[in-house]
Amino acid sequence: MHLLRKTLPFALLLMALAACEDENKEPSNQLDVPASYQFERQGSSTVAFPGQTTRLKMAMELANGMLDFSKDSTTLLAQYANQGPNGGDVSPFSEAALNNSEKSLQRKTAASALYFASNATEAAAIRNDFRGWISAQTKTVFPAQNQAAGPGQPGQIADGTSVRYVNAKGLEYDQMLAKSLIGALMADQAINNYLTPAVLDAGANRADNDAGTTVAGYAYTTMEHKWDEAYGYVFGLAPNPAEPLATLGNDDDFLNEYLYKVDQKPAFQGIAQKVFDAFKRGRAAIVAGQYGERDAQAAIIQREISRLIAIMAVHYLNTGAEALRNNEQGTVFHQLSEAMGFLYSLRFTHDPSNNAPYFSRSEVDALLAQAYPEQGGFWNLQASDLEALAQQIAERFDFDPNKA
Amino acid sequence: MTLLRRFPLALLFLTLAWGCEENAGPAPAKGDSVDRAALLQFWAADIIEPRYQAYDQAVNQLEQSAQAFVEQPGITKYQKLYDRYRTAYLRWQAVAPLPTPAAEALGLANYTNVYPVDTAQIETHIREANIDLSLPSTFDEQGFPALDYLLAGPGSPQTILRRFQDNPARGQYLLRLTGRLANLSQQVMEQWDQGGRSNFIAADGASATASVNQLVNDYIYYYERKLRAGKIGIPAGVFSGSPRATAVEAPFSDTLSRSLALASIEGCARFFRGESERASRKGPSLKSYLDTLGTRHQDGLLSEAIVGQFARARQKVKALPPSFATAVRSQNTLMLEAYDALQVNVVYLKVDMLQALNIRVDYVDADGD
Repeated sequence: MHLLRKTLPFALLLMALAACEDENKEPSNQLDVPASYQFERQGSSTVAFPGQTTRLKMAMELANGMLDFSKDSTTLLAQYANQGPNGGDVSPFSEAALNNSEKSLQRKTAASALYFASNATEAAAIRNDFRGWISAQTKTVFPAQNQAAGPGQPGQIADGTSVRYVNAKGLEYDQMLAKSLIGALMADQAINNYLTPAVLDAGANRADNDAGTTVAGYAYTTMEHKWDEAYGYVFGLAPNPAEPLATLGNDDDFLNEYLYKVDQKPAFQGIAQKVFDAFKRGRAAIVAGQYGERDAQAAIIQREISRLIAIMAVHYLNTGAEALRNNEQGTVFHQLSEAMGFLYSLRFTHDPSNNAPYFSRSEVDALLAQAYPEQGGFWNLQASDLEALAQQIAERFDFDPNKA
Repeated sequence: MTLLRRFPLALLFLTLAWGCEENAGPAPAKGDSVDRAALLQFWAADIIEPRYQAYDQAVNQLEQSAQAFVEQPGITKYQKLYDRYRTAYLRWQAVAPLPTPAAEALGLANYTNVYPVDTAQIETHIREANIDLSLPSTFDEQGFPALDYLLAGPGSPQTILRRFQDNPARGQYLLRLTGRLANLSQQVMEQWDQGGRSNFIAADGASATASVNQLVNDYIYYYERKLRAGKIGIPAGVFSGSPRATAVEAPFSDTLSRSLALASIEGCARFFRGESERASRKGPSLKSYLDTLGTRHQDGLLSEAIVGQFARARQKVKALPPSFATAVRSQNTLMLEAYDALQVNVVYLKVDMLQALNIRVDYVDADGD
């Protein structure tokens, strides 16, 4: 009743607004959108994304392994690729299901149809970055576990009562890797691959979907499944994937966690519901064969996930600047290490108005170089420079940097 | 239809009006009438310095009795050592809310009182005897929490004593810990004497880096994170949902945690009221500062609300058993009530007081990762 009282006036207002505008437009198509993310065909669920759940688990284990000093680079690189250096089979994970899986984080890094189908050069360079962070962590930071960090000296440093392990320039490779995966893997696959017409409409997908032709052995059409795979990169580890907002923030350390964190900021409250609703409505549009509506919902998700990345980048640049003003070196390093991963992820954002990233590869490289100077790294920064970077990003996305 | 057409316009006006309100910001500073120099002078001479001196004396005596005990580990010397440990830990509670710049730069609090302690690592260090205790990863392997483990548990005093008698390396680690506490305190005292004190008093402006802003931020940070959360909220499971008896302060001593919490509240309340530690007198304080500004809360003065809330929180903590580990296990509701009583002053101090004093919070809420 409470909800109804709250939403009813708003609904009336929307209807009123719609009434003003709709005079010259065709009436919008009626869509049967369910309350939760549940879709069925003849009594069987058509929703499935086991591959995304598997990759999220792999990513969690790799991210944790980056701070496990008993691990070596061979193991961590094998977790990233799920194969040996010569392509051989490996069992680097603690869970048998992950070892038996054919899935690989590396193969889905910078692998979207939109940005990388004909850009193997850049994709290879990006995967090299990830391998480089893993190697550097095990070869330079792990051996320095029991020494204090200093300029030019890897080791440990206090962040409040926590301990951070940084390289010679103050960067935590574990943060760099985890937060860069959010862009280069989860967001790239979800918004630049599965939610694009190139994938959704590939081959005979439209005809099959219109005819209700399902994939052999499954209850879903290919198009339905592609859409769900995007959903899986955001909500794939939710205990109840049909109602993922109930546990949002607790289910993985990647898009799920940060969708929650951005939603907690007063200026961006509602983003989680918006993303969830767009996933639901777009999926319902596929069932109904309304492809224009499907793409309109995809555009909402592309925009909001992109904003999430930008908001977190700006947030961590600001908190880094604040800590720098307070001379809290270890806190500066941790905030900026998080920021670096989100900056790296900006290259995988997706502006639906032109189907291009909000920041190009070369622009992102410039941002990274300013946040993490070649000379001295985080030891060599001014708070005002960080705030200028935050401003630059927030302007491009049109939000107030102080509210991020 | 006409009405409907106008509707978006009305909405636009509403949005604009809302926007205006949001941009209004806090009221301008009224703090010019307050003599910050006198405030800092009094804080330095009558509160900070005597508290650090008392603490320094206590850790020096602690070190001495540890040396005597390690030379000849017997029950009398053990009891004296434990007594001095207790005194030093209680005096730390008065120092902790007021870190000097030198104490902050050294990370004094991190090396003195990070808990729960890592007992397995301590045993490793006793065996290997080569750990560098300046490393941040050793915060939870030294200081008072480590002393609590070595001196208070588990087992009877005789059992504890036997561990030292059977293994001289245990005594050596004890000496490293007490020596380190004394040495850190000495460094802080020296820097205070050699320019620290005069720099503190000289920075009497109203900027974010001036002494009043810095110390008040540190004080509220301590109250919120170390007292409210650390001593009560975290063990009571306020944040995690599951109470943890092992997360209390001094969990190995049977009767210490409540005394430490009460000393902490007392140290915070006395500072707020401007109670001198040298003589029975009051000086300029956060309380008098707020009163000069005439800051009100509901029908009365904000300062009175804060003083009253300190008293209520103290009553709630006094109602707890002397061991918070027992409290968490058997009467956690009382722990939660104590937390709630402490939480009220977080709002009064951090929101209402800081707004009145026009001081910005300079620490970010940790996002837990």
